[in-house]
Amino acid sequence: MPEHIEKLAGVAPAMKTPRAAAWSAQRRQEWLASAAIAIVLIGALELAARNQWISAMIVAAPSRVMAVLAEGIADGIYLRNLAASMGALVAGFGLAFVVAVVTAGVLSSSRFLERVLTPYIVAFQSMPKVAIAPLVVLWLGFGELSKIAIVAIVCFFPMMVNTLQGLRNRNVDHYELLQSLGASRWQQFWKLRLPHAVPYIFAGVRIGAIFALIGVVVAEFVGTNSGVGFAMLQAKAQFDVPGVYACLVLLMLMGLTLNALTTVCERWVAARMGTTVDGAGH
Amino acid sequence: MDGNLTARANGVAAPEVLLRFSEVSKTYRTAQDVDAVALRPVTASLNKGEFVSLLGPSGCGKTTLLKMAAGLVRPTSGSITLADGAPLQPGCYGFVFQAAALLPWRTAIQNVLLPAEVLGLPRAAASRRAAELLEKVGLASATHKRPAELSGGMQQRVSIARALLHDPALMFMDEPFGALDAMTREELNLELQRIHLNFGKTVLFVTHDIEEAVLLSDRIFVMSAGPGRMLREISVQLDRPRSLETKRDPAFHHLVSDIRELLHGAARAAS
Repeated sequence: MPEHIEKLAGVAPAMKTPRAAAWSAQRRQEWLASAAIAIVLIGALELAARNQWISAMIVAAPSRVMAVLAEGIADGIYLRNLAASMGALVAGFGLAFVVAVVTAGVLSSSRFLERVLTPYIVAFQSMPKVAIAPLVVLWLGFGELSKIAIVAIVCFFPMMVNTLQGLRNRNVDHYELLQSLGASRWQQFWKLRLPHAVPYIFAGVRIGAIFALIGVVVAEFVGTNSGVGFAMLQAKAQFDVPGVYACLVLLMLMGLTLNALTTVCERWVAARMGTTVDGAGH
Repeated sequence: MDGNLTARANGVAAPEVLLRFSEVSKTYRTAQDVDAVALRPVTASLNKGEFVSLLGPSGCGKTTLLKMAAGLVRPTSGSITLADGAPLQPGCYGFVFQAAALLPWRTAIQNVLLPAEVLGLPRAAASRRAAELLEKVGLASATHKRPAELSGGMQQRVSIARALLHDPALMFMDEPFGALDAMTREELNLELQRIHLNFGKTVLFVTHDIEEAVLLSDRIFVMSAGPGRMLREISVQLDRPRSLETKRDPAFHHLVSDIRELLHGAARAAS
């Protein structure tokens, strides 16, 4: 019997290798196909723009866009605007994150509060938050402060609602386990409800990051004189089509960066979830 | 039949009472505002170092009685106290759930360490003990695995190690092996007996498996459903340590079939 098991154990990895190789070959093909699509699309745009097949008011040649981008970065304008947008985004998002988690923590620890406030949360959630942007500008004026506020309002709800859902760990055994050890409500929060909420919080953060980017662009459209959104409006006003595209590329880069940051944070927390949460508890 | 069921005179010194159940009952109020009796008043006691099983069909109130003993469910009437009349404090016993109830985001050893964190025990000593306990339940290699990577039997071993971490004198176990396959179950039964004998733990054990109850227990509280109540207390006088050989002992068989008759008789009378 043991020889049998050994044999099986010996055979298994040998069988795995070709399969793994096949899998990575397939991955490589998928990557190549993705890259090919990008090359074809960019090439087609370049051709269409250069030969004036499409009006220069509609499409800018990718090479022109890259040139404008390089120029703008070199003379510092884009970097300044990028910094302004990123700064407001990070500040607004960070503020919203902290307030969202704390609010969810308070709401989830009192059924009364949760029930009383749920209709308001639902009402606010069903309103498109960017529509508040003009009002916020009226309140806080033209500038950084309203930008941060708009970002925070826009990304607060998805993070709060997700966290709230995660904090409602409904596993009765888990509660009885902690009860059997005489755990305090505080310990219940740190040992049970918060770690249970971590994946939900990250789901909220992912949505929140996208919303924050939308928020920052809208804020820059309606009420500031800095940032990538503002630079885009300026380019539009001057009929600078490559400039508008360059700003779109910058926004896309911002989005990709945010996404990558979220993934890194998520991996880091997931890898050491038990221990980080313990550390926070003491 | 009665010859097997009645407790024979005990040759050992008078047992010391650990937990006293006085007229404990539980009535739930249903959604339709109707009172449903989960358990009729029970008066009994649990002695120090003893292994007692609560045995009966589902709906007999055995889990309710166990959870009332642990203070997880409040009795409708009556009380459960220590010998000196004080109520049992949370944290001074171990509880093993039917589903292992491991926290999925923690590794095996982090799960075992949970009681130490909640009770504020010294960390280094607790870590050493957790590693030892995992080794004792045969899971040294699974120390840093998460519950999802463990089989049902392994998860239940982790949860037993967790219940033992703070070295409680008393263990409550709610059908801990109910969801396991027969072989794993027998293996864990013997392991539990070892823990009971070696560490001198008092165990209150819920099961619906007659053979499991007879194999493990010093005494069995046989319970019946509709409404939940305690039928009879049965003393099991089989030599320890018991093994799978014990299951071939005619005395074992007699006891099992007597209890089966008792339970079936009660079920017939109830229906």
